[in-house]
Amino acid sequence: MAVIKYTEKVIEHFKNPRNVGEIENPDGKATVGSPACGDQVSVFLNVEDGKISDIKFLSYGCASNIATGSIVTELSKGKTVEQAKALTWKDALEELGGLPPVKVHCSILAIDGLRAAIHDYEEKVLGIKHERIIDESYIIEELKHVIYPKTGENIIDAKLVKYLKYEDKEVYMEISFDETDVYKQNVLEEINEHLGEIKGVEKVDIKVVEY
Amino acid sequence: MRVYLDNSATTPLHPEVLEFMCEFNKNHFGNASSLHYIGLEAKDYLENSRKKIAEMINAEPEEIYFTSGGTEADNLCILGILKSTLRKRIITSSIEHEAVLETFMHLKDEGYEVIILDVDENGVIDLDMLEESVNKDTALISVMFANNEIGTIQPLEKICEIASKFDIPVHTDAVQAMGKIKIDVRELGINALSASAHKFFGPKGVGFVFIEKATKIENIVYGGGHEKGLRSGTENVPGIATMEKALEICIDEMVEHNRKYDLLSSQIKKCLEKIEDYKLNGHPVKRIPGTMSISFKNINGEALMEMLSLKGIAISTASACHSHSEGESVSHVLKSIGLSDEYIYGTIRITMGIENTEEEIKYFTDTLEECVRTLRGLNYSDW
Amino acid sequence: MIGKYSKILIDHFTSPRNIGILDNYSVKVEGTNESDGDRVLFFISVEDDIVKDIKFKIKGCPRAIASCSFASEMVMGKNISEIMQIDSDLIYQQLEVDKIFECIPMGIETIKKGLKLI
Repeated sequence: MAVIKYTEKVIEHFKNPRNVGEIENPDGKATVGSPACGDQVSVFLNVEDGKISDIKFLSYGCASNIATGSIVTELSKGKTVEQAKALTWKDALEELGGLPPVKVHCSILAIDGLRAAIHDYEEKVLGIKHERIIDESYIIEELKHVIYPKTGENIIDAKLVKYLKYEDKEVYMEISFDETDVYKQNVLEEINEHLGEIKGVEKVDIKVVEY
Repeated sequence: MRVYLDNSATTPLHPEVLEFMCEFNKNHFGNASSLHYIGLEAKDYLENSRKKIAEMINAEPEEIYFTSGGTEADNLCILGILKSTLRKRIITSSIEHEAVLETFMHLKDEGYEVIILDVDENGVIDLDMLEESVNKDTALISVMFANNEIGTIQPLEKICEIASKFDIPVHTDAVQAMGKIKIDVRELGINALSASAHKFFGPKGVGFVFIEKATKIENIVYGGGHEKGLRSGTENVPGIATMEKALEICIDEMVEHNRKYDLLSSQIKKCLEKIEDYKLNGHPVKRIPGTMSISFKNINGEALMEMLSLKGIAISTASACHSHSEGESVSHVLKSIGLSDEYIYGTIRITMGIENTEEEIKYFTDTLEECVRTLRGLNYSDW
Repeated sequence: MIGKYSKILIDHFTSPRNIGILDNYSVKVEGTNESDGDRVLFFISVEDDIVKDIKFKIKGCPRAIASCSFASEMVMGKNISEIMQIDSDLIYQQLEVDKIFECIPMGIETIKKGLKLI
């Protein structure tokens, strides 16, 4: 069995996570991920004078999930909304001193949660409507949220996706895996989950190829 | 080898017609309104042509008027008849030529109530819909005799029957049918008809209309009052005389030509059986001889037409590359008969003429087979 | 240019380069030109960010076929970042086609779309 190596900072944030909890009647809130996948994060925030005055999170997941939730809330507290929006999962990873490749997706989840909570605030409090055009580019962007646990890269950068077509609300994909790849199932599930959440995608058809 | 198979677009001059035209132009250039002997001679020829054309469609000479072609003829019949009535509803079909459809669209903008009849998958108009659409406010029904794309012939007698219930004048754009099948205006009971010389081996730029003598119509072109005021403009006597000659020859040789077209059509159909995945459009029986509209699955019609053109064969395609400003890239006729996407873009039209021979058609079918196979080879089979 | 098409366009239309499929490809990508019913499928093989092989299958008008053939020839042996810089204007120019024809960009834009997966 592989031993997962964590940095000290990760262990620290897992044992003593900052900003855990809920906010009553928050300006913005969101929940991302799903228990079925083993990871879920809820983020709650309040904004005052354009700055994130308070932010809390609740998590259902592994140590990395808790640690990344903690670091992301710490990084974003006190920042302006724009600055917080600009935070990336690479920033979070850096702060933590890195995560094992198989856990990199947690940092993405935490940042997704922060951004979704900010979007919620913008829609509810500022009345800004966010329009999304669903096309192949958008689908590719979503797929970049799916990490290939073996290398820690997203599946697009890892060049696993060979073919992608989005037509009539259906996504057809070809993705390549070695027969013996243990992460295949996991990645396929994550893809289905991410794409399934998109309004405008009704069916996902994935073909696995071996080259 | 040069093979011309686009006679629906235009026809070459019949050799006898060309000869006649040269002679006539050399010797008879007069203005039919001039009062001297040269003018009187021209007038004679004009009225003689009028009489002969009337005979060919079982009309009276005073029911024939000359125009600059089919489009003007359509415009005159439609706009002219409407000018003389207070009724406001007008009816036509979805597969008319633009000369009719665009006129109707203009009339819609002018406040007329426009009804466009659907057609079935063979291109025949929906007679039930027509029955339901006619009323005492209907000013005109315009349905083409035969369609230029798919060749289907419309049930004009039935249309006239339905129209007579409310005394509605019926106009037919007979541009594609004239000279190819027998037309008897009395038998049909129509009120107005348009025809164009360059579709029956006559010259370009001249046509005629038939207006039943009791039908009310006003002129749309103003000027010297020619053609009893219905169409001003110095008569194109050489053109008209040549047109009459061309129609005469066509009707004389009609049976012979149609027999040949049927033979050549069978030749083409035999070749098609080897090709697979194609459709023949238009009514299988009630159609103009010599017209074939063929849709090949999963092939681009323009590419096919271009390949054939590069090999000396001229046919027409129903869809072409377009820019948004030019409007629809696919024929409205094919859309109206409900042709599916896989076939609609791969449609070509072949229309035969007097020049075509068995040898030419053999060259055409061989080349067609080759080109279709090549294009299918370029295409992915498992989309 | 005589008539509708330039010599180079007729050449690419009558003898399109790189027609076919690849069995082992780095990426497969489909492109369409909705308004004219054109469809193309490219198979691209990439090594070290360089296009090593490219093949395509197409249903399209003469301009579409020519522009896909031209684009496939253009990208062969090039680096991905170089290819992403190629603008369809260049293809309109080289094939001597008026900008009103919308089928021309399909080739290069589809290739670029596919390379985004790499």
